[in-house]
Amino acid sequence: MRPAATGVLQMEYEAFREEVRDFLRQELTEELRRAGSMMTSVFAEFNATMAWHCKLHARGWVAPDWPAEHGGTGWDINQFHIFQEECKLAGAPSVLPMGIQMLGPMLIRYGTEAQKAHYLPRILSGEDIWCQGYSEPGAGSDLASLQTSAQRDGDDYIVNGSKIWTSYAHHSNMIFCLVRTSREGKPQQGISFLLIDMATPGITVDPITGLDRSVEQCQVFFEDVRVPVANLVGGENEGWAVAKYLLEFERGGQNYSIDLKKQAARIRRQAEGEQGSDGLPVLSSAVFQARLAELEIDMLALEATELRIKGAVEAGGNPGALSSLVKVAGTELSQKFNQLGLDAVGEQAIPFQPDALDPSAEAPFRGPDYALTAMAEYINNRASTIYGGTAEIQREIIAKHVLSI
Amino acid sequence: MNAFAGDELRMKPTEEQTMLRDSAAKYLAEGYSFADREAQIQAGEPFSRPHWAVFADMGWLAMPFPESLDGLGFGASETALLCEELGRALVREPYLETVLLAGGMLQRGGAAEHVSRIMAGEVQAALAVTEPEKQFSLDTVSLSAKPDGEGFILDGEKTVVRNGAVADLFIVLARTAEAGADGSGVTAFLVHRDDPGLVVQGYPTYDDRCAADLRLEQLQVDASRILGEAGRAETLLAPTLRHAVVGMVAESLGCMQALLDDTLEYTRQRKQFGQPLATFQALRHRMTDMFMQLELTRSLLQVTVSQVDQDSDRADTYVAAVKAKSIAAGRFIAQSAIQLHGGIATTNDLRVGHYFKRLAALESALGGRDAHIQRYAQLTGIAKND
Repeated sequence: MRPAATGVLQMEYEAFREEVRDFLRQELTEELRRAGSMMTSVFAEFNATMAWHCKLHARGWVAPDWPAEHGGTGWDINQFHIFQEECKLAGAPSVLPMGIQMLGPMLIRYGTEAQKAHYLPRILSGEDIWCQGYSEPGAGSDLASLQTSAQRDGDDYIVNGSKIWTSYAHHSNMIFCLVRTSREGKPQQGISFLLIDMATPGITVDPITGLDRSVEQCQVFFEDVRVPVANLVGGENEGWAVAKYLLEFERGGQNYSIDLKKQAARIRRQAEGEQGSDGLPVLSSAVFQARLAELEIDMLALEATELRIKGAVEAGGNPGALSSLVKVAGTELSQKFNQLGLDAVGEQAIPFQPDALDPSAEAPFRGPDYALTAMAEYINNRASTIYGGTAEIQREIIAKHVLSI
Repeated sequence: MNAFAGDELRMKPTEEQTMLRDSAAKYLAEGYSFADREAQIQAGEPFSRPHWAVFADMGWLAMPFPESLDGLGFGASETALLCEELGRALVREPYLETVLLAGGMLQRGGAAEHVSRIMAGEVQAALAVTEPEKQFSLDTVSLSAKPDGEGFILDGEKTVVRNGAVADLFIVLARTAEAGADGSGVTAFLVHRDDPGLVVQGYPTYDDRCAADLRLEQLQVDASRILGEAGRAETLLAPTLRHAVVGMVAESLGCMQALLDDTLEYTRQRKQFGQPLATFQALRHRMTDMFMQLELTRSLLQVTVSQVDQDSDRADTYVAAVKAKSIAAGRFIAQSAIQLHGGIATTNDLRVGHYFKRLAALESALGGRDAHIQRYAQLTGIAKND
């Protein structure tokens, strides 16, 4: 579990926890809480997400793990964990990860001084909303085979091609993209990393309807899109290292265990509310108890692993290939929780009530509130072992870079 | 398509069964397209009346009913063959709900004229068992039925009544006596949609079908609305459930088969790292496991079908086993199909995700995973009944 904190230090952490709770009591409105508790994927409803982002920013807490000089908090690993835990358990919506969690740390490491000075404050303030242009229709697991091209023309690149699975592109004003700047050598050697303004002529966005019939993903098309060379991050043809560094944060930067705790708490509530076929609460069934207990034990093991990795990062390392371990274990465990959640609520999972999941609509819904998100979570979370590198790709990374086989 | 060795494992159908299966497969392949289905969903149609009329013409709606009622008198073996084809074609018309469940109760309860209307495709029907915050079970039925002269007054709620939004007829289970050790105490009532005191709140479901919550407010019924014997709904429900679970598992099996077929086809075509996905060992093994789970479930279903058709003592044990097995296999196969397709299967455009949703919605119908595992344990003496 957590590194032992005793005496004065322990008291400081408790005081810090109180400070976070005070903030949540003051700023987390009922509507924002609803948005957080009705999340059926990694994203909360967009307007609520940005409203929460602004409140965190006003307090200086929107990017707590960035270095203090760039707008982070300077918290240690325990404080960071306490903060995330309190936010989640209070039902706060998540902040969009593309700017804060993915692009920001990457720019801090690889960006020019001018790029940092321009983009980092705009990520913090929420003025720029970023999306991630990595996958292409023909390049998913085999990301390095990507074909979207950027051809040098004076002080610009001219970009042509298409990106897919671009989460929230329809809400974003900026996109960071992997583009092909060379076809020489290995595919990885001809890739560059570009920052592109979505308002540039030649960009179109097609929303993709998901299985729950809502839109989170998009396909983005680029036709002769001019991008200033100054928007290159890292050197030309050196984008692969940048991309990989960012992916490690995408995969490992999350605290899956905190989300899992929230899931476990929700399942307990569902299983207390619902009666099984024997007329007793589902939670009183020995079959169900054993399944939930087993999953919670896996959750504790994952939490301990996340803290080990965070400790290493705090000591100056980066998550490296271990981020793949956390990603596979966290997402697959979360999917098992979803499955158990379906079993807990039984037939109450099947009514389709998309309006009831919109926190701003305050639409009436039928049935118990504990069952409202169970099916959408089960459906939407299937994507978690696909995006950010599939579970199969993550296992290859672990085999290659951790086990050296 | 996969011409795998599994074919050799299958029981040999009779000539009649082969004809039935082939004609269903042919009609659905030609006349039931995924694109039309989606267009109807977008248009807010809970099911297609033209398709339903064809189902009636093909004799499908008459299949499980006895010849004495002008039905075709087919058994579980034949309905299973049809339901597998319905599953494979992702048919969303309520065969299970109207014909096997409600129809099964009406037939066994002696309501011949309503069975005729179901066979003719004139009415939709729904079986209402589940009550708010309870899972499917006869034992926990508590909707009240108070004697009133020759009839009863019904009062209470039913929830997630599948096909309820469009049903003209409801079979409502209500408690008329304390639960007896033999399962007695519940009565099956026929309730019409326009009966005064019935409030139907319909809604769509995740598998693009429909359901409803029912509120019965001092709803008066006379004795003619009692199906079978008062207080003995279990004598109608038990055989109805055996046949309906078989149909449901067969439908699931059709979904699983389609998911495996689609996954094999996609991984053969889709190239990453310069070669078809189907050449990667991790994926080959996963697809092999999908195939094994499919065929294991198919075998268990075949035995269950013959146990049900022979009215064997072990039929209920097999029914519990095959429902639990099909939930586990369905989850594994549907989840694997999405995983192996990747992002494209998380969109509304590919049928893979729709099979996934149908299987997920079927899991809890007529009792979920844990309920059937527990029932199996009780029927086989693993769990002692006290």
